[in-house]
Amino acid sequence: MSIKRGKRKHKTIEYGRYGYFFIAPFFIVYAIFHLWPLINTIWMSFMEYYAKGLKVVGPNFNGFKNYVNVLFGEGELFNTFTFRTLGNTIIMWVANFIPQILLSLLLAAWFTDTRVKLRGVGFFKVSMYLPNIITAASLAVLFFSLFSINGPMTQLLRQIGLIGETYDIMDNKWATRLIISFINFWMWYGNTMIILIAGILGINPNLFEAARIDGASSSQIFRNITLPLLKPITLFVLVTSSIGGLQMFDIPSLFNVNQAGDGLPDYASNTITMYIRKLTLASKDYGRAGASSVILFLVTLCISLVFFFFLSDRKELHERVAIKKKRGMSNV
Amino acid sequence: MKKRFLAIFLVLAMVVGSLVACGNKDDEPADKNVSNQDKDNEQDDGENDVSDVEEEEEVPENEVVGDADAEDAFYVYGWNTDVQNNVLKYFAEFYPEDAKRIVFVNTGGTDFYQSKIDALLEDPNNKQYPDMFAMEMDYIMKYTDSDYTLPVSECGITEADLSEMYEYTIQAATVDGVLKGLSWQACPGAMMYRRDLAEKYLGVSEPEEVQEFFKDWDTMLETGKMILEKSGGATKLFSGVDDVKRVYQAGRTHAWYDDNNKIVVDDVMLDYMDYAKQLFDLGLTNNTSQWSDEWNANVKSDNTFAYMGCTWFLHWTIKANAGDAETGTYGKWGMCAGPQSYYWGGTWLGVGKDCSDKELAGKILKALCDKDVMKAICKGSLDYVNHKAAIAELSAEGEGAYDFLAGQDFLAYFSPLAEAIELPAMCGEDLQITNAFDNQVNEFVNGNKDKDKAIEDFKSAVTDLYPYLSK
Repeated sequence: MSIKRGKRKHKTIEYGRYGYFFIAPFFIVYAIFHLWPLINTIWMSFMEYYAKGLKVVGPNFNGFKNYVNVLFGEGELFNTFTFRTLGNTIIMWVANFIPQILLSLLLAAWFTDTRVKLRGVGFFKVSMYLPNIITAASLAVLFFSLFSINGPMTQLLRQIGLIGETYDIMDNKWATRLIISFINFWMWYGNTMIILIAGILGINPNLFEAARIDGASSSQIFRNITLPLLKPITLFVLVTSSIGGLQMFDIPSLFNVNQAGDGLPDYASNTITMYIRKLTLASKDYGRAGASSVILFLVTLCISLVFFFFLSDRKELHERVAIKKKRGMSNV
Repeated sequence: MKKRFLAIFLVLAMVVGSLVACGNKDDEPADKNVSNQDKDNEQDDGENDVSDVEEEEEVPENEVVGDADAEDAFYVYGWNTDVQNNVLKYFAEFYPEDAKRIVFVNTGGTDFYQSKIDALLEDPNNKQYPDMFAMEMDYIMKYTDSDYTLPVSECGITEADLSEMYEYTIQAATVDGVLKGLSWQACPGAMMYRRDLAEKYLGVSEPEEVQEFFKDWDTMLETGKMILEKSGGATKLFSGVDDVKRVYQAGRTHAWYDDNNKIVVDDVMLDYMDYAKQLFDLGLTNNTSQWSDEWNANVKSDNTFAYMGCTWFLHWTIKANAGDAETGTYGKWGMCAGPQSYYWGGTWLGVGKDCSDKELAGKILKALCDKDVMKAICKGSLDYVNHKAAIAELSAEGEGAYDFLAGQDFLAYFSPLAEAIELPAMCGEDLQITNAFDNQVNEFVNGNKDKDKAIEDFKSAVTDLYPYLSK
């Protein structure tokens, strides 16, 4: 009996091993192309490592000098290019994300409402998702030519009289930022909407039905059933969007830039990833680029943690903590 | 057992597959894309690229012309087809046997040119090592002031060979008395104006007479006001305020930083800021920025009176954008010296330290000193060549009469201007620093910042970019 069982056990383990083989490629690729660069970045952030012309200086260990430089610059805390570009990034992300999630929620609620029964939902879903299919580069260039000094939108605004005859929209910091936010908003609201629709469809329809029988209005249902039960999906959308948003690069780097790749005007549309790239191109200052990258990583981490804290299911968390505590007690 | 082998095989296939996919994305300089000869589409002028660009700005692929696999391949690098079309093509006519060995690599645009060749220069054993490479004015110092380039004397170029070259082209490539590159072109600048508009608003159209209206900066400003007034605001002097930048920049006596690595803003650059502000405040420009689509389009439009440009600018910017005689402005242009003599740009050829064949490198460089080759280049490409005798002969033969300029002899016109060029101070970081300066000039001109703040911010931006510079 026991021998037989042992054999059987052995066989199952044998099969299980193949599973590891199949997931191995991911980990190998991850280690080479993600983990190693990550470690390397952190390592370089503690180095003095730049090039003067073709003469490379370093890498020499210089402690936290890069971090001090990135944090304080010329003395004032946070008054550095790293934080200014990070600020630009956050402004452009927030200005795109708030309207995006609101509109997506509204559309998702409409499209899934069994009482409204919109016709042609499939068509709307597809057409709203379409902007996401166009490459970001083409969109950036398209919008730039629309709003450039002789572009059709500029001329339209001139004719209406909203802006002066010689006014250049591209010289306005906020206009540039808002247009970039708008492109991002327009590209991504369809995507967010589809994720939210999936989330709403995952909610037990009995709940909606029961609420309706009890006489709840649509807004009550939305507020008290849809929103609370959509929390995990909203959390997912928020976290992925913030990670993507803080690494915003493609649109601003092609929208209103000069030949050296600075976000115009006066670095107002320079995002932190554009800045990091510039550091590695101009003087190959890998040390400070590394430090800026680590700062970006930390900020992303903080923002994600804040979202988790506010949006995750507190009740469940408390229960888990309580269970853990109990176990701990019994162990003691 | 079979299953195990199958599993291992599948895993390997997946790993190799994903690695290969990643490898292709990396820009290997080894890309031998010989079949892709469609060069014009690959030039990086924004719009054409968009269809190829996927998620973000991609590093353009190298284009290779020539037999890259040959044992004795001689690699020449450039960021566009200039070197190929304006030098190597004519070199091949004179030395067909040697030319067969030349492999020309076009890295596709200036943006990534430096990072591509820098990596190769550090790797002499690489088959693709740049035996010879092009260097642009804005960063020539970076290479000549390093050990990565070979003095041309080691390739057999003597003082006598250089006698017909314009002095400034030699100075520009000389560091500590050692000459490290040669240029086939000289790039004196001039002012290109619209003859028909000049006739209309100034009453004259011939260069000598028009020059009177632009003899110095103040007169130019007055003329600008006059044109604006007479045309009822329809015709502006320039397309953008930065059109005059290169003229001022060529007059610098300090590079952007001094020997102590301290940033210096030259007085002429401060003058430029003031002049640009005046142009803007008086409404004498169309407020475009240089190289933008609008700026290019204004060549065809009556809203712009003149451009400041040089030899290559005449052919490849003004003429390229002018359209034909019927609908465009072809043949309606004239050229005068403008308020100040200057030069703009130029490409030098340097030899890599570990060049595989110094003899061939010498032969190519020697061709740049050869009158007949230079004459062929000038005739074929209209480039203003760096050879005084060749220019004089061509001009005498009437080759310079250019119907685009309504018959004006551009060779004869540029010739004294080229002689007068004095090399300004410059540094290897010019490209990036000048761009940072432009950002702040723009803020100052638009009235968002005062001058001191703009200069302060410029210095901050530069010190941030280059850790070894200080305010």
